[in-house]
Amino acid sequence: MKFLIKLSLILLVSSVSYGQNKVKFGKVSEQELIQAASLIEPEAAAEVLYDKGNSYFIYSDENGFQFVFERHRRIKIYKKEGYEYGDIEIPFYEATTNTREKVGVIRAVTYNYEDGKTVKSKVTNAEIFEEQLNKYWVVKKFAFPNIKEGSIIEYSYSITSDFIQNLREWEFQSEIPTVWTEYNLRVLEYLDYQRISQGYVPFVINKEGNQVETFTYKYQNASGGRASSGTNSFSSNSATYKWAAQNVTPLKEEPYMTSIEDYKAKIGFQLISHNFPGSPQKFVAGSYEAMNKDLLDADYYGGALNKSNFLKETVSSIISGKNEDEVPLAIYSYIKNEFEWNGFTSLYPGNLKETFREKKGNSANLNLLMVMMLREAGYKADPVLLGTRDHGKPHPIYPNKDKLNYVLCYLESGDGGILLDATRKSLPFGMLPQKCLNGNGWRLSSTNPGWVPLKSAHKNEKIVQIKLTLAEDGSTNGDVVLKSRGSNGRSVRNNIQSDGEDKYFTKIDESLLDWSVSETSVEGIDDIYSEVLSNFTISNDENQDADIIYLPLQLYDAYGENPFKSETRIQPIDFPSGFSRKYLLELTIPDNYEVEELPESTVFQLPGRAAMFQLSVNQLGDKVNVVGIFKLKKTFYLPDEYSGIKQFFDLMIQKQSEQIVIKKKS
Amino acid sequence: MNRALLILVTCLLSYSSFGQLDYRVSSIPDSLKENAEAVMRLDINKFEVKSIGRGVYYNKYAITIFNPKGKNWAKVYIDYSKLRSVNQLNARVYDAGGRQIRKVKQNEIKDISGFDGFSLYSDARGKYIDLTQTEYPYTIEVEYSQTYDGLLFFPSWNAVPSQDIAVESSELTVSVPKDYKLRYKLNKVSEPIIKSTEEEKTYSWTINNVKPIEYEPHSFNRSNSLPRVKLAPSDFEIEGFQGNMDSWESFGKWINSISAGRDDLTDEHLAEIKSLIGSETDQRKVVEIVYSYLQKNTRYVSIQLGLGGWQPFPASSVAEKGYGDCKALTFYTKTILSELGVPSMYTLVNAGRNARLIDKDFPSQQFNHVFLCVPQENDTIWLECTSQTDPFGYLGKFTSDRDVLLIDEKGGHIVHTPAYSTENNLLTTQISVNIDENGHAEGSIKSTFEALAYEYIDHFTRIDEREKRDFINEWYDLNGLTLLDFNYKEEKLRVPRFVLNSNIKVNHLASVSGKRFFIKPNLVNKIHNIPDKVSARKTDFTIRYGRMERDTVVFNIPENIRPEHIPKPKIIETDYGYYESKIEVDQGEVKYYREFRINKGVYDNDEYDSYVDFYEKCARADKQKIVFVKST
Repeated sequence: MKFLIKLSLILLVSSVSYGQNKVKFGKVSEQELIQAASLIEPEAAAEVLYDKGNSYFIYSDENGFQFVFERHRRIKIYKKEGYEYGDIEIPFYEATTNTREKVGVIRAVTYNYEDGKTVKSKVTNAEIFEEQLNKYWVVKKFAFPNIKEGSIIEYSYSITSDFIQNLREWEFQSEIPTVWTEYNLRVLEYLDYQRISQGYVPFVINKEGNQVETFTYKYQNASGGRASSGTNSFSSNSATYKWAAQNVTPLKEEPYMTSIEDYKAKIGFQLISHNFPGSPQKFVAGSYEAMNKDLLDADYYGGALNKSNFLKETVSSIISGKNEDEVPLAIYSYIKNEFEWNGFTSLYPGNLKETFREKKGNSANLNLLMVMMLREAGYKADPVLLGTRDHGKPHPIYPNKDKLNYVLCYLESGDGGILLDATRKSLPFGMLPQKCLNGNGWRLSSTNPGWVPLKSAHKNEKIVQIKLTLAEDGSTNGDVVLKSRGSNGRSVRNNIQSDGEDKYFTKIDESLLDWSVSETSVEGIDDIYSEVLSNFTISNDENQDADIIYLPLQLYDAYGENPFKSETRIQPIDFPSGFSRKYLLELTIPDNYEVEELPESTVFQLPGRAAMFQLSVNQLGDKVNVVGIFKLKKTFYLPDEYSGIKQFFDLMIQKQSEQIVIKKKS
Repeated sequence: MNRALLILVTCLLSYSSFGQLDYRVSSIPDSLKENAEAVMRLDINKFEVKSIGRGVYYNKYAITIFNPKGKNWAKVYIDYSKLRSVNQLNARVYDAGGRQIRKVKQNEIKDISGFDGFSLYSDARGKYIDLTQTEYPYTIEVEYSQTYDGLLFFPSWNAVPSQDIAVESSELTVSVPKDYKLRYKLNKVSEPIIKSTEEEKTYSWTINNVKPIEYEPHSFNRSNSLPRVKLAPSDFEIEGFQGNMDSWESFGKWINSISAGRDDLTDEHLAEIKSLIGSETDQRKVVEIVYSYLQKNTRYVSIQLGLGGWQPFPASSVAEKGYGDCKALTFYTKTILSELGVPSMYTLVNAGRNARLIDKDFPSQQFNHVFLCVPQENDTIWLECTSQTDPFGYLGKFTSDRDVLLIDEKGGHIVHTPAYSTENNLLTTQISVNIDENGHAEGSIKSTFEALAYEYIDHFTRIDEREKRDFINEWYDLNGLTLLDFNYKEEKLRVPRFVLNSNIKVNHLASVSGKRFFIKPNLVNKIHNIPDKVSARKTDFTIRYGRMERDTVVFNIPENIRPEHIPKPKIIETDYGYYESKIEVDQGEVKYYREFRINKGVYDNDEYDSYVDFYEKCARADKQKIVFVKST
């Protein structure tokens, strides 16, 4: 017992010591090496013991102002599954050979504890590879040697950068636990960065201060015919910051959540302005309003949108003979049908003339062309900038263009406006792809800038309608119609178009195991504005001459399975959109049978009618009528609402499995 | 000088002897357009073996794309690496009338990394061009050549590159120096036309007007149904290493030659391992100690550069760094064992649960992985050296039951790896629950995973508590389930075994309507994946692995409840599998038994419908329900 107390004391001390003592590269303690499991999450495969970043600015006559980012990281590997943390990637930016980021010396060492001794294995320069990721980004890669369960890996590097707008953000949270993480920042008085923080990790240190820095420079004067040269200096009363967090729990992926980047605790920096000695202050976007103006003023954005002469002819030929209500759809259909989306997404217009000529482009090319054409035709249309679900939500106050990766077209109309996306032929006017349904988007406009909710103008609706007749001999026959509307219609349509009608009905046939499916047909496949009707008949003669017949209430699975299998939830649930499902069954019973038992009607809902399920079962003469309605209205749920929504699904699925009992009259 | 001129003239001839080609869509025979998303108009393949170490491949093809489904044909990717360069690449697009509408400029060709997704570093890269158009149909034409620096393999000719495309014309010409022996194997193609000159020998094949061949599921070696010519070198050379591939034996010799001298472990390192062995003399135990040392001290990191794609890193580099790819880790283990006096063999395999079977009659480079064979008098040991977690000697879906190439001092030869039997691959589920009058239940589930079934759960010990609970909830997928507690036992043997015990509560296990109770007794093990139906199947089908499931579910029911309807016993017996279920009622106890077996094998195409039917019948039987009535 005593021993236990002592041990836990040591562990306690060791876990705090990162904050108090200076952690030196190479000085890995025996305790750290011996420690067998994370104290934050005992089953963790690996753990960040220490992660420290410093960013500060330097000046040189050759390069002017640059920032330096230094990182020192120590990771403990507990299990084999944690070995992957021994593969390191360091990305850096290389715009041209003149302006670039340079990665300084990389130090990397693995430590193992063997026979009471610490054994070090270094990564040599020859083992560090460099790979060009794309035009601008390069990555340095290496693998730590001799990793075993219990190893500690440690590395440090620095990046010297010409791009002051790339000031590195700092993530205080990772997929593995973090014992200590800190970021130290020293910012020149000439630079104004907006801090962007997110996540729920409390800081143990959150300090701000000042420090005077002095920089020297060489000068050469050639005035008055006499050359003089020498060195001089200037100083900056720089702001200093230190943030630190300890014992940070890891983040995990869960179903129905947007990008994990939305939940990670981190601090990022948006450059708002710079005011270097000898040059006037220059503002770089620091608010959405400023970004709005910036983009509208920029040749490559607002300028490009204004140069719509090349569209004049096309627009006038599209709109000729059409009334005011028909034009938007005509323009939308024109872009959608005449242009090919190349599969890429972007935020920027690029070369719109080329897009127009080639009839091919990325999402921004197509949707911005649509904005221009609608404007050309006399409508109020604007771009809406957003982050897609897999990319993450933009900060509501501080803009960062890296957080935006997609543009939609906003068309103002009497009842508020409608969002359009012309990238996919299967999208009807006003329907958005699911990945765009992510909070709010910024309307880039000279007259009405602001946030617009990213909502589709179409519902997600499915109705299952079954008319079933029980024959006197106990066999059952029925007609089924599945009506798929809105985005549900689109997904059925896409499904049928890519796999064919046969495969589609084969899947339905398989889901209706007890029934044989025939006389299949679909309607509304070619017209993306109509609902999709899937018609078929079902029959079953397994109950022939049976005295008792049990019929499941829910012949066809209308609501789907419970998507939530986990017992608990860490992140909020974020459905892309609400939806509704309806199930209608009319059963006709012959004279020689009678209803013995019917399931009970019921209604239940989540607080505030966030979701509701309603089931009514009635008998009227020789008919049994079942109406089931499931509606999900609220799309965003906090983790403490999780058990409620999970139970809701459980209960609904359980209700579906109840049976109608029919008996032969005696 | 004359010689240079001659070469130049040949090149010119071979590269530009095709004048104006007719790419009008109207000139495609109607029969080819039917069901085709695209038609290969022409596909000219030329491979010139310049020497045993160098070859030039030239390819010019044109594809007419009819609809968006064929879009991917317009996305062109040509791979290259240190040992295979792309010399010229041109691409054009033509409209339906055969008029050129686009010519790709060199600066429009993207250069992208060809990473396989699991390598830390590799020199594989690719040239990429997107030729997609909005208006269908259109025709793309691509022309390029590649220099093969080192000739471990020759390009294959897949005359019909995929099942969705029709082929109007395709040809292959291979020219080799006069005395060079070209090796080839034909599949649904006739013998070549052979021409000889004083300097070289030329083989050519052509194929015309092939309709699309529809994809059929469970066609294991489906490429066998497509016309194709496989090519392989006889003598070859790569980065200074010469070899011969006429036989597996000679290929094995080459493998030996590239790893010669790489068994360079230091005495110190060997001493460390020998100290672990101590006085152990039993060979099997010695191997087990070495394997456990390997699993503790190394990990898999793949670095593929040039010849390094085939040559193992020196054993000393694994000793030093503690990592390596499959070749390095296997060779390292082999070196240790050899120093300990235990002979073992480096073994080449085409690994993967659905990997193509190799053609053992055609010695050539057909492998993607290396592992180790340790022959023993009875029960040879196989070691997967890249895994830190596999049980000792475990051969799973990754490498079992297939032909592999064993390398010994004399060279190489093919052997077949062992397979677990259908009875070995057993998943047993035993459930016992008490049901109360409201249909709620409480009880226990015991699942036992053996042999290949162990692969379902082999990661369980390595995930955290929350993920373990998630796994159990998802594995049983029972509506209303609450997991009370669980425990497990893993036996990492050659036939591994994993037992998972859970105590559970289930809300509404029985659905209650008025006075009736409904229970589907197969609670957690229903068949979900019925094979896709195929109308008029043309190819045979393969069940790669046999397996078995055995279920027992015992329900204890309240006294005032009696069964009203009990499904009849079911037995379904076929060549592919067996299904049996029965229910016994004994006072307050209802017992459900189930057995499901799938037999591995290759079956005729005309048996496929009844195979699907078997699955459907089983799935239906799995959904049967027992009805109880409350007596009040």
